[in-house]
Amino acid sequence: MLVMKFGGSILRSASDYEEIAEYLQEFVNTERAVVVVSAMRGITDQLINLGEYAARGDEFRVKGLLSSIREKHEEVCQQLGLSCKLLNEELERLEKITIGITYIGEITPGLRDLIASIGENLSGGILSELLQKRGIRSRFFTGGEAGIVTDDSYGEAHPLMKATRVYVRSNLLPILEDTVPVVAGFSGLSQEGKVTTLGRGGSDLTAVLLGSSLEVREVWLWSDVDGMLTADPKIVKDARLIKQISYREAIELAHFGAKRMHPRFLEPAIATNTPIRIRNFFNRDCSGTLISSREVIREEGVVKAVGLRKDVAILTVRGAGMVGRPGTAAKLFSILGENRINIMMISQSISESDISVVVERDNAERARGIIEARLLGPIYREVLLDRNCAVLAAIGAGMRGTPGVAARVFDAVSSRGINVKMIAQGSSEVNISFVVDERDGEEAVRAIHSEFSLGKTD
Amino acid sequence: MRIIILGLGVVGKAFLRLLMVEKEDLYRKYGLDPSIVAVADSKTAVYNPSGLDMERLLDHKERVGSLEGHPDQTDLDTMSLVKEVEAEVLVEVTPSNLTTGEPGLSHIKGALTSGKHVITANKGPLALEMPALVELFDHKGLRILFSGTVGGGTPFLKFVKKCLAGERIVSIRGVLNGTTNYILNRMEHGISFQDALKEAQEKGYAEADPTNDVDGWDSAAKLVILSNWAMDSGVTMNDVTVKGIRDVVLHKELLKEGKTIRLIATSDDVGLRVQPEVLPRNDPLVVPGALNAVSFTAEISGRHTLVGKGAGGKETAAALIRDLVELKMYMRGGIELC
Repeated sequence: MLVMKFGGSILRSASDYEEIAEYLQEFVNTERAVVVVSAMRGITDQLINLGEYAARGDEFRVKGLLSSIREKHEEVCQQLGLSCKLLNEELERLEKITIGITYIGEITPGLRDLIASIGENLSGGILSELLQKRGIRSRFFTGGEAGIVTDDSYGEAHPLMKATRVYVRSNLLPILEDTVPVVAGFSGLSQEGKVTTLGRGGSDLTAVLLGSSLEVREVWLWSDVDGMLTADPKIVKDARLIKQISYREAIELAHFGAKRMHPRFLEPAIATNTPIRIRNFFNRDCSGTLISSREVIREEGVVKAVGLRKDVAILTVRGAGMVGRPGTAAKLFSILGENRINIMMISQSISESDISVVVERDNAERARGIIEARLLGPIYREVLLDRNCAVLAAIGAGMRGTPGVAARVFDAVSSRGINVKMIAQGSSEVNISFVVDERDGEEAVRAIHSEFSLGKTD
Repeated sequence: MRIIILGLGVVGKAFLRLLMVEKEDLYRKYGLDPSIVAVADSKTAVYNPSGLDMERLLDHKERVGSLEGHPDQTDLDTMSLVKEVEAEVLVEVTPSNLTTGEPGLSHIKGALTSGKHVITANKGPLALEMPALVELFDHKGLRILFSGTVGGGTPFLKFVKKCLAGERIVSIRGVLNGTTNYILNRMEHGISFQDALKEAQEKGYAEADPTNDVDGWDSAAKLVILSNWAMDSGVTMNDVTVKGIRDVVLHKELLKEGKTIRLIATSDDVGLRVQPEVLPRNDPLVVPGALNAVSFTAEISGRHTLVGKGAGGKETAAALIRDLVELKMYMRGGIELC
């Protein structure tokens, strides 16, 4: 048995649904499947905007968005020749909720999630009915109906794994023999029975939760990319698809690449050792990237991929008074945290006279301003900002047992005349991260890619 | 501490009686002063926010056979009692249903949503949803305690969690059902299964409908609870392979070889199963009469076997009282719960 998730990037029009249904019709002859769907492309963003317009009481925009969402789905329904009863019910519900909010002019986090979750219900209703039309027994489930239980941190709810496992098994196992469940991704139910959403990449998490609970053979995440690559192909000509990668490496790599994924979705799979395959629905001959517990070590070295994040800056605080004074780092971090500035990378030398953090460039000036205001003084003598930077990460498990990996990485970079500004390596040694000048970022990626012959097939 | 009691059968009554007998001790030793604010049997409910008189309540139940006509009688159904009556604890001792878990499951979930701790001797809800219930209660900062579900008054659960703390339990094997153990013991004396069953029913060990006992479901439910508890296995009733003792034949030859058959419940790295197994008669799990026995095998210190009476109203009530004391200690703060 498999869980298959169809992402928003491949849900653009009636013909996409048709192609998916056709594919599934053939597939379920050979193996059972649980289907997870995202919302149609762009719909979740529209729903989030809808909530915000409603909260501002902007009736004009609310009505405009509502009718555009309705039209888009009705068009798909008509082209597919479906009754779309479920769709109409959901749309009506959405209209009532948003119009209510518009009149009150106020929204709660719970309502925000309820609205955002509806895109998957619309999409799932369409696919499930289409399967039925093709003679496949199918039933639609919201995330909550399928058994996904979460806490009540709306917007980024955390699944309660054990409860989810029990309820997914008791809700889906009895019908799997003769029915293809189509489950709405992205949403769950809190203990109080309120709809919650799982945050960015939530549908991937839904699929993995179901797969792990049902102990399926593999979870397939269908989208429009082949899988995880050794590097960005726009930067490195011979960037290559990674056929197999471990969970630990995938967590590091998920941030990078064409399809930026939140590594959270890997968590449930690790516990049950459920393999995940990232696949391209428009290139089905390609078997994609398999993520599992297996750690393959290549002959050319342990590095498997190299990632690049541009648009970052290094913020450094410096002062002789910081040396040997407990709490100086904590103060810096907590002030940044209070101001919701995410720290991407941290480095402090053993002399303790300076601490550097990497932040996104969009936050950089704000971070500088706040730190200058709050910390600059007799202890924190200087606040420096290096604005135009890029972070690189050389990723691959097994760095721990292999001497000289860091030396090879930095040799490769320096031999092209590139200066390394800051270095961090976690003790798990799946990742060496370092910062270079933004101008040198792409060249540094090419240097590492070629040093470890990443373009060569396994 | 305000308590709601649902279920006033053998266990419920014994619990009330024990509370009365132990009242002073509980107060003096633990600062535990229980006040029963609502009680329901299968037909009627009584409710008094300032606390019911336990002695009069029991008298009434004994005299009338139900709570019908009690001065504090109320029209509230049990779900409304759970949700609307203010109390710190729900004691859920309605009969176990191993197929639906009801009505216990709804009662327990009602307690969860209305913020009450639960103490229960009802196996059904746990057999069906234990990993979920424990996580959900935990998440809300509430406790669900269920010592009385396995082994009656014999502290199998507390033994493995407290006495073997810090060790990994690699397997659990046990005789978890007194009725079948009694029947198999009698069969060793040449009595047929049917006759032994009838005897067990006459002695009050077996229910009128013995299906859950003889077909292994009662053992399976207890195994699920033990396995989740001691091995964190995340399992429910559906994960157990179950075979009962209806087809067991005890040949004389087997007995002569110094062996016998027992209904053994096992949880190990292979999975969970309940089945009749041939054992040497000197195995610690071969116990007489309606006793229960469980062997926990710990990774380092090896096999530990605990033997005790596996059922009985008074014994199970004692387990409920232990849970109540534990809950009180937890609420007062300081002592770690297991």
